Amino acid sequence: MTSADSKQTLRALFAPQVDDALGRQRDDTDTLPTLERRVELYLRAVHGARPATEEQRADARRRILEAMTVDMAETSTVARATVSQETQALRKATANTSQGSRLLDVLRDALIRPLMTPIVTGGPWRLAAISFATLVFAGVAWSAVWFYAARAAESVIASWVDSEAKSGRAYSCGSQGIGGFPVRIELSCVGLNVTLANAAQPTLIVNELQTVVSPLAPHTLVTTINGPISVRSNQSATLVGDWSRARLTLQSSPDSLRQVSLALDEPTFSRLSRGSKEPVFVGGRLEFGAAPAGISDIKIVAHATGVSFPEGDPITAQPFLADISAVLRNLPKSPERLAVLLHNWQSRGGSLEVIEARIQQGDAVAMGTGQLRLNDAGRIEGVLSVAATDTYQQLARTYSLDAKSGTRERERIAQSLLSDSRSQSRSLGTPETAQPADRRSADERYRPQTMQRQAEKMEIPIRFVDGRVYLEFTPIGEIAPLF
Amino acid sequence: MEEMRAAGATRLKVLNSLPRQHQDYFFGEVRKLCANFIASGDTPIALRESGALELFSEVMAKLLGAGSSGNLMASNKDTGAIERDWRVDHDPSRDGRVSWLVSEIGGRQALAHRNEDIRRRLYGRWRKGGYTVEQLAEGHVADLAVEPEEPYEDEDNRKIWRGLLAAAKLEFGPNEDVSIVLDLLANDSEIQSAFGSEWPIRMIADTLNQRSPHRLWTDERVDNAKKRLRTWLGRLRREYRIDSADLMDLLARYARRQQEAENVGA
Repeated sequence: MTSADSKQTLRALFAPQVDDALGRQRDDTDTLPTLERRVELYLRAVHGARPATEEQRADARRRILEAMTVDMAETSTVARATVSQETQALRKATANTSQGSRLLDVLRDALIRPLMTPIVTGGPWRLAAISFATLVFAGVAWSAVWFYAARAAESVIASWVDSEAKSGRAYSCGSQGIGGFPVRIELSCVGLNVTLANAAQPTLIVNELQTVVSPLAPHTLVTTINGPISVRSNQSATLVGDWSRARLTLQSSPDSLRQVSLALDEPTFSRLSRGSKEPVFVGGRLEFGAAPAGISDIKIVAHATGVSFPEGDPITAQPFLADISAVLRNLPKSPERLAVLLHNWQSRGGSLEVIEARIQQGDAVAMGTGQLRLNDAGRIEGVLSVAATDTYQQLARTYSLDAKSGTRERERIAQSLLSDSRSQSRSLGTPETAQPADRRSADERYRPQTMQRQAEKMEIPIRFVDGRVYLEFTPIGEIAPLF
Repeated sequence: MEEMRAAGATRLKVLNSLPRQHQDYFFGEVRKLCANFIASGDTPIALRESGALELFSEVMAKLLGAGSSGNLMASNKDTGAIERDWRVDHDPSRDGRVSWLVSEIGGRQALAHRNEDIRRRLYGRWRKGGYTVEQLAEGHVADLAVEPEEPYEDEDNRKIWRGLLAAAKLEFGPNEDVSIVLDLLANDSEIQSAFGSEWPIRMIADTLNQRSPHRLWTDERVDNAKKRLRTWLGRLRREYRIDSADLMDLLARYARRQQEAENVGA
């Protein structure tokens, strides 16, 4: 198609019609403001009575059109499509759970019919007797459903524990229980102990797990993890973790696991050594999610807010925000021990594709993308292309200095980051004082673009060569083989 | 959904009908509610002012982006129900319309939804465990960087076609005549080149008969599909009170939104 023809066809399609004018007269849309009027209202609301600039006007127009797009997507036509999909899903679910549905039908009929029966057909005593019998029947039936679902949940967990045991991970509870009758099923495990087949590897001890599942939605398991947890190894040092709230959610279909997510509020991990507790990681919130993306790929996302490593580098000791979106490609299907799993993954040509990773501290932003894989020796290979703003560029340069000067310089940058984050009213982009208030909201939509432009100032490749890590050509560390 | 949409249109109509003094008072009240909402959350003090303004802008954009309901009964029913309770007063703080608008727009739940909209725009859709990061995909950023100045450029035309086809899919079934005709118009260069001020009805019918001989396409049938298509586009224009150029802009944005959703889902 030529662009001229395409344009001509669009013009013919969108040409105003006489019907439009007639329609305007006969429907109720006359009282809705025109786009121009909406723009005026928006400008007055957001910027006050002062005359708006052309840029502000264009932003307002764009913003309202975007809102209209959202509105259009949410209209009844979409609702109809959604209803149709939901109806199909419901039909499918109904087919899959025909036995359960039949039971519910019986219950519903048993409960409602006596109440709908005219009193004249029996009399008050008969009605009362029928109602009582119905309630008893319903109670017994529901109890049966509950116990059946509880046993099924226990069975699912037991089979999962068995499969994990085959992979070299053993789970045991100090005490376990089941409750929640009648509305839900609660499985609790106090003193969970996770041990690995390799005795040299650490043992994980979790204070308490509480898993809740509704009999009516058995494919969603929500687990609350009550801290603390501790990691014990043969050495004296022990890692201890705690948080204000941790929630693990598993969603599955009858065939497979559909999604795993974990959210931790205010996590703190500390190293215990000779009676002292040294915090190694603290954070505001951690979120992690994984879901299958194709036959052998898994998409993972993670978001961390206000996290820091107090004992780490001067830079990472300052709180930062991190986001990552990545895809693990060519994962083996069968559950294996971690080392075997990684080896199989490597031999299948597996890789970790980092779609986007971002770290931000105050005004400093670094964004990375790239691909990593393991070589035959289990060492990491690949390149992450990182685009960084000024502060992180300075940081990169410190690694080319000698150790003492580099550390001193990094401490100086860390201090500047700290003061930046205090003085900035926004965590991203231009300081609020330098940015007209009216531009801020509109700019939010283009924040990624702005960041991209900022970050385009310098590209720094982080190279992984046989486990050794280079900042372009400067070695900065080494990662041990993963199998 | 129809009633929700009617409520959105009613809010906008009410705002539009208010005297300027009442509108300004309403803006001020919602601003305050946004500030209180942000202050009550875990936003650091230094970010609260900008956060409140972001939220307020989002609230206003949502309010002003409403379209009218296609279902007149739902729309009128909703408007009528509210009108009975309105108390008109010279003092905006005592005006029933303003109070109603504030309660509709500035409720905690409504503000939480708008706040979530902002987060989704920044970090993508929450999917039980994380916000999928969608904005920073290279294509997306490139897309954002292009702000169409000339609405008839090639890329814009493609976006408009994509948006038109995507929106039509929600309105018409895949086997409906309108969908079949629209698909032909979008993809057949010969038909496109035959377009002038009039539609090449006969040519469309002939082409469709060649493609699917088991269905008989007559001029009347094509003309009927054309009328339905144009009626639908006319309705979209009226629902948002926008002209054809703005409707094309809207559809191009809709195409981009669909594309982003597909990218995230992929």
